[in-house]
Amino acid sequence: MRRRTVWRLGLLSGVAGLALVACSESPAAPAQCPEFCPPTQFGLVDTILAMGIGRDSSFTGYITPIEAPVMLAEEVPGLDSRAIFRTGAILPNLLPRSGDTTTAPIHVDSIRLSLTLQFRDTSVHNLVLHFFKLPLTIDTTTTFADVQGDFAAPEIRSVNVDSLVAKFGTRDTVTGDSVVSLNDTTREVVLSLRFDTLQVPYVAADSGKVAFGVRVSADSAAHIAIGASDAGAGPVITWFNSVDSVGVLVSRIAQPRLAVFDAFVFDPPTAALDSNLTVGGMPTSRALLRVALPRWLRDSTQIIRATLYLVPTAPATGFTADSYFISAGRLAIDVGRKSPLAFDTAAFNSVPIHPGYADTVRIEVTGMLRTWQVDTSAQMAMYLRQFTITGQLLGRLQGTEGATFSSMRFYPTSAAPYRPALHITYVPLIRFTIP
Amino acid sequence: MTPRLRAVLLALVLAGLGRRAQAQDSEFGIRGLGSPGHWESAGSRMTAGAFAAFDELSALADASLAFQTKLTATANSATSRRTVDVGAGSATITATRFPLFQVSGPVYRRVVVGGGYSAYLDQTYRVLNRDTLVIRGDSQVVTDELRGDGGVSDLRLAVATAVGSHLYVGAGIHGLTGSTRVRASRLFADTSQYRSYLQQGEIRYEGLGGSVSAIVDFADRVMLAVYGRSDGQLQENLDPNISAKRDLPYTLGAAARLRLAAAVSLAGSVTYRNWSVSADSNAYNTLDWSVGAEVGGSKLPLRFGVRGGQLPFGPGGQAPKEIGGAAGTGFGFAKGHGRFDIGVEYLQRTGGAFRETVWTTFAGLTVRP
Repeated sequence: MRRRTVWRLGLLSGVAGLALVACSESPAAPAQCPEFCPPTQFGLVDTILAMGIGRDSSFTGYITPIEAPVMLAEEVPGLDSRAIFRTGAILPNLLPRSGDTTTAPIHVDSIRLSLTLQFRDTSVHNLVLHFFKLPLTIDTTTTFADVQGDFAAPEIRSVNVDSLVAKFGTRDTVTGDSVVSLNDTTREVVLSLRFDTLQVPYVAADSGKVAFGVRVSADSAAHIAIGASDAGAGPVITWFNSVDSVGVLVSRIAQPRLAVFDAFVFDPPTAALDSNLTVGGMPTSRALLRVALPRWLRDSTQIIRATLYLVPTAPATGFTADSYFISAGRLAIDVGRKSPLAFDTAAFNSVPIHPGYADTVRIEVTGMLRTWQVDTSAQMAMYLRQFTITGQLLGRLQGTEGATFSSMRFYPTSAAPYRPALHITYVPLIRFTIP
Repeated sequence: MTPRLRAVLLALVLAGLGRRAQAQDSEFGIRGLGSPGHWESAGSRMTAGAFAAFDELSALADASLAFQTKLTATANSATSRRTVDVGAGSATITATRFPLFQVSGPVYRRVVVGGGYSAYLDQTYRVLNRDTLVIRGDSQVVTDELRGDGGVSDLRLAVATAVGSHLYVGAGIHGLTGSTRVRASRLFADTSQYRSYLQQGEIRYEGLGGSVSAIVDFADRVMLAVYGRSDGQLQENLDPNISAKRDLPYTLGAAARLRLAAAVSLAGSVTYRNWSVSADSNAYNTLDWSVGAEVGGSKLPLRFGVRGGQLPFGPGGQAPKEIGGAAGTGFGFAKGHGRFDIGVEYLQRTGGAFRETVWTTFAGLTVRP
């Protein structure tokens, strides 16, 4: 290799090496402030905006018993609630054998009713479900008074849930009832209850449609939530049937049917809304809060933490074992009662509420306020909603609104000493270099 | 690809990288306007800047351009390893900069025009601070980070000529431009309750300066140079509504070069700048000096020198001091169309209880097509 080439290669290697070194840089220095720090100063302000909530109101009727994810059955002082549901029609005639061309009427052998009991209160003992036959005419207009007479009639049968769960193998070999599944996390129990044809006779004229009423009793404070079709966990009735084939009863495939209608009726009706902010209950209520974030705060600061303070007018109602959540969610647009919620989880937060809780409720709303700082065209309004854990999906707890009678009331903005407020921690806009 | 073209491309690569990779030259500049750059080519920097006033590749004295006989481009790179001792602990910071790129050449008879880019103020820094704050009655651990990336660049256009056979004069105008992207962030250890804080901005700079210089050659053995420069005001714009003006210093300097033999030269320089006009009480006027020597011809000469002086910004009511030395060599290639210089520099800076030492390796590539 010629000497000149060697020089060139050496030069090129040197330049390439320099270029590589230029890519690695570590300019971080330990701070020795203020002597060797930039004049930039971080500010931090922690303040309570008493007037941070400008206006508020409560609306009700978001979830009614017809749309609720559960059927609430309770028998507690001051409230009597009963689940009602009607199952769908079945095929009254079936082919005796495959290949037959004519059908024959079915003979019902037995009936199974599958019920999902959600968040069962294990502190309540001797929980008994009482089944009543209701007229097929029950519908969305049915009231407690309408079916009171039917519940006064002798019950079809009853099931002691605690006894059934406690049985070996969770199966009652005498009645044929069994526990299909038991979820310790959500306290959900799926029951499969056996009825005979005397208890639930097959009426061909009704095509097998049956209406049930369920009342609960217990040693104290009986209350249960039965899964409803609206949440995909409604009652399922299964008719085990056979067909007469030339004098021989041939068993045919069972006919399961979902409840085509489910709801619950209760007495007394829920109290009307007052001037306070009501969240939860049945029908469900929401509080709409309109935030009055000062312009300077929105435009010239960065909020690093924001907490909404709500002072309850009375301790939270409900049962000891039935906690629920109060959530604050940003509205996509503020059109009053029918305002839709924004689909962003970042601006959504909630706090658990235990019945009897009487202290100030604090909900973190940092994400929501920071969203409004970024999107200044967004309307600064939020819903306070209540939701309850009603299931588990892919290992994550699922919460739904309208699954409890419990509610909470907070002082509104008109109650000056106790009005909702925002506790905000923010950093004022830093002024770089130029004074 | 011809060697000539290859050398030009390499020079362009070096110059292009220069705008991205700059880093804080000194911790003392963080609190002030930044760290002033040296307007010295790699060859002059090996002599601690002593020869810069007579070096046509440096941007210190415009009159030195008159020594340029061919169209020439040069670019420098410098990689520094800085150890910062803050009393409670120390840290090592590495950075690479491309502080100078110059092009010059004769345009008409003895008139030479030149210009290019050099770093005027470096404002690249990153400072981390960990602290505990009491917020809402609870202690919260926070990590603050302050960053700056950029600085002020000096775009020079200069002209020089020989007046007679012993006097060389030059003048230049300097456009000061550039920007610093600044960023402040605060991270909370408790991310479940506190969001991080982040603010960014860009400070843009505008300024205009002028320089004049003269070099007298006494019988080709002794040369004296005087140079002066005024940079007027630096306009800082944070956004269209926020701006400020800062006075920039004037520069006065003198240098002497003595040729002891055909291949042995000595030089020394003194430069004064009144930086105190540009900032608050933590800015000081500076007087820098350097002495250096060059032994040998154009092939692998030995260059070395020492420098000392003050830094313009620092706390404590007294200008931080700087002292150091440099050495290096260089060689030509491609039949004299290209030149590669490489050297090393050591600097020690002290100010109050703060001390930093810097080792810098620097290289220069010069192309004469």
